[in-house]
Amino acid sequence: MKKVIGIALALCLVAVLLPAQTGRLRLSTTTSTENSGLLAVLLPPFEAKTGLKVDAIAVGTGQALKLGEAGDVDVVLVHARELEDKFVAEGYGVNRRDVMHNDFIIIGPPSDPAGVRGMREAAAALRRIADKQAVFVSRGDNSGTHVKEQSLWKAAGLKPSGRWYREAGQGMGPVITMTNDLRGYTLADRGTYLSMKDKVQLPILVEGDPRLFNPYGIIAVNPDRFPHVAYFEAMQLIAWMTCVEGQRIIGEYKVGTDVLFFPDAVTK
Amino acid sequence: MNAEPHLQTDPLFCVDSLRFAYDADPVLDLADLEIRSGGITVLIGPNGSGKTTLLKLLNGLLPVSSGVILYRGQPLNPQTIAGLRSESVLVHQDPYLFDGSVYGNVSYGLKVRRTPSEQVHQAVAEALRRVGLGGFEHRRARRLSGGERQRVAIARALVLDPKVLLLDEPTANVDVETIELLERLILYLNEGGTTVIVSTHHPAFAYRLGTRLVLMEEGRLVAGRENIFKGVSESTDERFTYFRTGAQVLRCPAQEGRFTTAVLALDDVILSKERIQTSAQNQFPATVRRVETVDHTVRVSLDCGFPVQALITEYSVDSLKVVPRAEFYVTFKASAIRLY
Amino acid sequence: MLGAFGQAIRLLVSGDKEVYFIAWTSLRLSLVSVVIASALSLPLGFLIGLKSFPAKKQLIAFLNALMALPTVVVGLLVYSFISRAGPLGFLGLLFSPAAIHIGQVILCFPLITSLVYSALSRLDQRLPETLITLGARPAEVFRMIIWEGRIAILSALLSGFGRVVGEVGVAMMLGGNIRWYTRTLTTAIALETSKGEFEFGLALGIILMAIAFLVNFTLHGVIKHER
Repeated sequence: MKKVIGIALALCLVAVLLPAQTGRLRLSTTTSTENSGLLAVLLPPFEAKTGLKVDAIAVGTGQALKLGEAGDVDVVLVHARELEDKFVAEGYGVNRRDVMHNDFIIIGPPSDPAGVRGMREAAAALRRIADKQAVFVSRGDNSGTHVKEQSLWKAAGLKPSGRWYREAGQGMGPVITMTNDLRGYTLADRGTYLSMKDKVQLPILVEGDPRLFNPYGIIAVNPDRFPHVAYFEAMQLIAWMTCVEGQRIIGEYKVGTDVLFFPDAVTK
Repeated sequence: MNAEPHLQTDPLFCVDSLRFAYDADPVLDLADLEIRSGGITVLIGPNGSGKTTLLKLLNGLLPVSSGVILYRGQPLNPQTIAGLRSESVLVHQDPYLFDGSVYGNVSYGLKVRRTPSEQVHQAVAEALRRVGLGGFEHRRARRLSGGERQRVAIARALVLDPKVLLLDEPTANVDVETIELLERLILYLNEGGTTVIVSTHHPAFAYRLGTRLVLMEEGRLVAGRENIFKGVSESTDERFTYFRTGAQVLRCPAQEGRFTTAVLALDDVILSKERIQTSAQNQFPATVRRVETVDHTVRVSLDCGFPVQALITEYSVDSLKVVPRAEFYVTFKASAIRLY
Repeated sequence: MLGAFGQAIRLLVSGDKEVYFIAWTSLRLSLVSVVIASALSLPLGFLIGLKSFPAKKQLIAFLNALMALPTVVVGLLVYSFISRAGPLGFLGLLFSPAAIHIGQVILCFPLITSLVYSALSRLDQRLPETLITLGARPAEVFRMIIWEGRIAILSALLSGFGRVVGEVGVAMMLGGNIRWYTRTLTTAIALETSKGEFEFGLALGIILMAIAFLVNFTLHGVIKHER
């Protein structure tokens, strides 16, 4: 009996300690990036080429950057330009590169009570939604989408508040689902929307406004500040994402028949 | 009440001012008690009198926090307990049997001592035979009857060949057949030199077996109020059964059977300076050995060919001049004697 | 709902490598955590159940408080320690199976301890006394008590297993839901749900329940067989 227990404990210790931490590159990114499915096609060729294992940790934008600020990850891929610039300016990140962009869209119920369908200016559309007090669901979580949404309200010259404005504090997927249930409006990134299009009845009502442009940046965590980070490996990933082949994979990635992302690195 | 110890050995256990309480509940308060080796000491008393607690203390299963227990002259402490453990075993009232076979139970103590399995097999078979459960090795211990389970527990102790065996109420909840077997077993063990300390509230069992009875009530020792004569019943006619003890023969109420113990209450013994004309059938000349006064009652120990005790008042002590070596007659009725 | 059942069966039968790997990860992580926790819980449960010592009441209260913590809070607390920004950051444990083990052990250890000591406080006093009078030393007494109480102890371990195999707060926060590495059934369910893939999430949930059932069933069978 003692022997059995002894062996079990020994196996446990091995099981716990063995999974090696070496040869792993930690990437923090946003849930919408993960949910789009892009990483599942973009990372495996990189792993095959370099023999590295990429641990993609998908959380909200705020948390993704915080992980970088703590040195818990080696490289960050997010889409919130002002926050990214702050990240670099404060010395947490180095070598920021543009990778790709997609755009945001305003989606809402087919009945469109606020009458925003076809509008060319997103800020104006939001003003109409506020005037009508139509239900609007916000990310409310400091994500890239949320930051964009707040900048649009600012451009519209108002602060949204009231029962019609629902701050969900959740990821894009749950917010789209909630918007569908409430038959309301929301600002969504096209990638997540396309992957959920079939499950909800929320047609695209407003798109194409340059203000809705959603650029993605990749930043290596500063090795000077965190000597332990896998800086060399991080730079390899940045190279992959911005090289011709990586950018091609990005440009060709589709959900169904729709292309999600537009590569930015090599064309610039 | 104490049969004069015919075995002169140093006391095995010496208890002094022993008090024990479970949490705030006092259970035992023994002024002093000696148990000699080689005898059968019977603890007798009602439920709650502390017998089980005393047995557990004597086996080191409960810690001594107030008072002293000496085992072979040494106080019981973590160092000396190992010595105690190797020679004495306690069997619970309603014993706990391990889940598994009778063999698994009986052999446990030997396995703990890493006895080679050859020896274990033999010892277990022998012990089971002794308790009348020969061949029971493979039975499921917990499925046996009450009497059988008791015997398995005793076999479990016997197999270790202990010098001291403590039995807590082995006669409770078992059938008559088992009680008889236990008596024979205890006598047999005692003849082999094992000291037996057994608690019971079965009077016949106590009288027949005990070379010494210890009465307990509410945690305290109580002085016995009975004479216990060991001997043998020799013959019976229509009037009496004749019981030989020491150098004399007692006349007892006529009854069938073979008896080894006669019991006579101290109160039934009458002391007189002269022979008296009396209906009582038993009268013997006696010499006073010892006079003790406790709480205004005087206990007189005399020798009339066998040891006997009587209770008299302090007044009588003075008026009759009861002192050691004084000569008297002791008288008691046949009907006052109980035979076991 | 039936669609979810159908999907669950299809996933299992098709031998979908990823689903199998995720299920194996959940099972492996939880079992190992329970074994580690029991190495702490059994002796501690014994101590509390059988002996008295100063500050015993406070220790029991502390264990009960630990059990009331939501898994997310436990995750946060451990995270604050093992993140690079925290005191144990240099160990580099965050987002690895080891980190999940730390969190899971904290989750199930008070539960198992509490169940063990409550089983022991109901222990028949005659058992340790019988063992001692027959000459057993403390280590042997400990072993026999565990053996004789193995059913109650197994129940305690299975409860601990249940608590960790089905939780998501710790696994998500400390493991990071990394594909092919720290993605468990529970974090996968959370992910699929966030993507609106409710049926898939439910199917994974059914697989989780099947695993829990299998573990219970197997261990109970093993113990019964021992008789």
